[in-house]
Amino acid sequence: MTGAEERILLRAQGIEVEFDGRPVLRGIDLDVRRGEVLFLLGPSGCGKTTLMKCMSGLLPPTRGSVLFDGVDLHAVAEAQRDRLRLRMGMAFQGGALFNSLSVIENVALPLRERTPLPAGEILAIARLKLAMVGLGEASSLLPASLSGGMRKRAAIARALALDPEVLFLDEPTTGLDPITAAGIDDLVSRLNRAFGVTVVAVSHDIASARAAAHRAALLGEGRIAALAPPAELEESADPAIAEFVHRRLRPRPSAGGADLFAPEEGA
Amino acid sequence: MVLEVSRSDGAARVRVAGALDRTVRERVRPLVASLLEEGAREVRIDLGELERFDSVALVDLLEAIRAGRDRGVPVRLVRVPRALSETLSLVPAEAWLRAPPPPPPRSPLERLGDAATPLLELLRRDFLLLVEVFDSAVVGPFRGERPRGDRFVREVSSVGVDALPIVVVISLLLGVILAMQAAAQLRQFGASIYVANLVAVSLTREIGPLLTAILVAGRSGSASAAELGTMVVSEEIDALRQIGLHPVRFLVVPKVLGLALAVPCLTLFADAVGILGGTAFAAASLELPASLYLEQTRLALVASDITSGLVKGAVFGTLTGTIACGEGLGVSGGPDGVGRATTRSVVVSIFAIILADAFFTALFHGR
Repeated sequence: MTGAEERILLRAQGIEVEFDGRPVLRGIDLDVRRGEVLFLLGPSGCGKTTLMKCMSGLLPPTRGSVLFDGVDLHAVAEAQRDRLRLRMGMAFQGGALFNSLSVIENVALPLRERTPLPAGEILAIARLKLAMVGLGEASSLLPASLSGGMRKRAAIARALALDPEVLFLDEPTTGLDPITAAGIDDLVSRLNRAFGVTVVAVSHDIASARAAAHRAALLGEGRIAALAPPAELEESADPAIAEFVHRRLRPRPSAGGADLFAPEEGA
Repeated sequence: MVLEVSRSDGAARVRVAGALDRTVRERVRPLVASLLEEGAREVRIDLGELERFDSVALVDLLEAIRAGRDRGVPVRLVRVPRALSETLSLVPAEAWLRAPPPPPPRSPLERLGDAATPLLELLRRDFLLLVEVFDSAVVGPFRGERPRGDRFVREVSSVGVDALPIVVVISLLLGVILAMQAAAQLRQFGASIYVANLVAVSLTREIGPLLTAILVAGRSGSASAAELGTMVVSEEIDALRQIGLHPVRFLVVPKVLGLALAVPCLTLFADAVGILGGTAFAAASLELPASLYLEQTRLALVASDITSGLVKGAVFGTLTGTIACGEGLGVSGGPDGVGRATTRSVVVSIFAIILADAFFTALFHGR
């Protein structure tokens, strides 16, 4: 194995996904390097969450494969996939916190279910993770009484519970005010620097990518349109990239193209 | 509004004046269609005097153009008011015209077929889930999977203990009702003492397990479907899988086993309380002392009456749990999906319970 190969933690190869015969992803090749923060950017409905769920092993692709540390996630037996999942954490868009459990019980659940640690230690670890994301005070609250930003933080704390090698974040800043969002970006950067945890984040927030990401992949029409550091994406002259990055609309083909109007008679 | 047609040399011109919106009944498209039928080689729709329009006009005009395209005849708009051309520019007209028109509504027979397919799909799904539950619950421990004792206990208590008051009240009343109905008939023959037989046998064999199962389906089955459905919608199921916890093993098995144990337990209570209700009625209205009534009950019942009721209860509980969890995990499309799944879990469970009951009765008592 070459040095470069060794640095690849996750590799997506020719990922195609169809829902009811409708193609969502049309052939994605993407390497995630160990220790990097990679953002998947793109407009709503472009398939970025779908791609992330494929890469985390939740959703089997219609065609293609995902290698996690060299192991094909979707080809191995379920028991082995579950073991690999010990090395991954995922924070879902709406938090997906278990509603009947308090915040700290949510964070403790993966530890309780997947490790042989004694209860006292589990509780201490859970409290530590909550303190790391700035939720030390809220540990006994139920998810229903958390604000949007707190819920995202709690979800990140739960995703971190098992000290994963890769952290998947689904829209970590969507729906948050700019200050709370910046706080989350900062948290992601610090977690990455402190633990060397690889981060794959889905977002449509270019500012967030600029703040936290080493590289950003821009998805469009089910393919990767561009893959570069966020700063380079912002300087790109490619209209498809500029459209997304700078919120610039491309001119739409007008109805005239449909040959609806007769030319004469002063239409 | 006014629609006027002028023809010259194979080309037709339709002048639209006044309003073309939801307040008027005339449409351009049928007129254009009849012109095309006559063999017009070109149709122009003159909108110079169009005064008001809304989406009705947009659809009507685009459909008129489509009708022309289908026959290869150009249908064009002329003297289009500025407001209309701006509105039309919002429509991706080329794509709209290329898309096939919506299919006509399906006939009742076809719709019956449409409804039957998901029913088969549903049966298949619930059956597979049942197999999976069996696999996890019975075979799983031999594979070294940890049984979810804690969650099982919680389910039994929430399904069983919490349902006890309502089961007790309803079966007490039913015991009284059964005794009243039986007495009305048996008194004519001076056979009032046999009220005890009728109440005891019908309760233990049929009404006890049936009533309990239907109550549980409405109370706990629906709750399970809603709970799991909500977890699907809020991605909690995905979160469980991401942690490496199997939703069926972690959530469904404890629920199904909980129901399979709770329903027979509740059935026992229902049997006992129902018989007490009958006793109370007999003592109050038939002048049958309680000791006599209970002695007659003891003589009337054989062990298999009670055990067959309990076996039924366990089967009903398993069916309800499987159907409710299947509906819950099968939710798609957000909160309204949860509502539909909840309703369907109750209806399908009750149907399955009655069906299974008919099967049991035919098997054990039908000869």
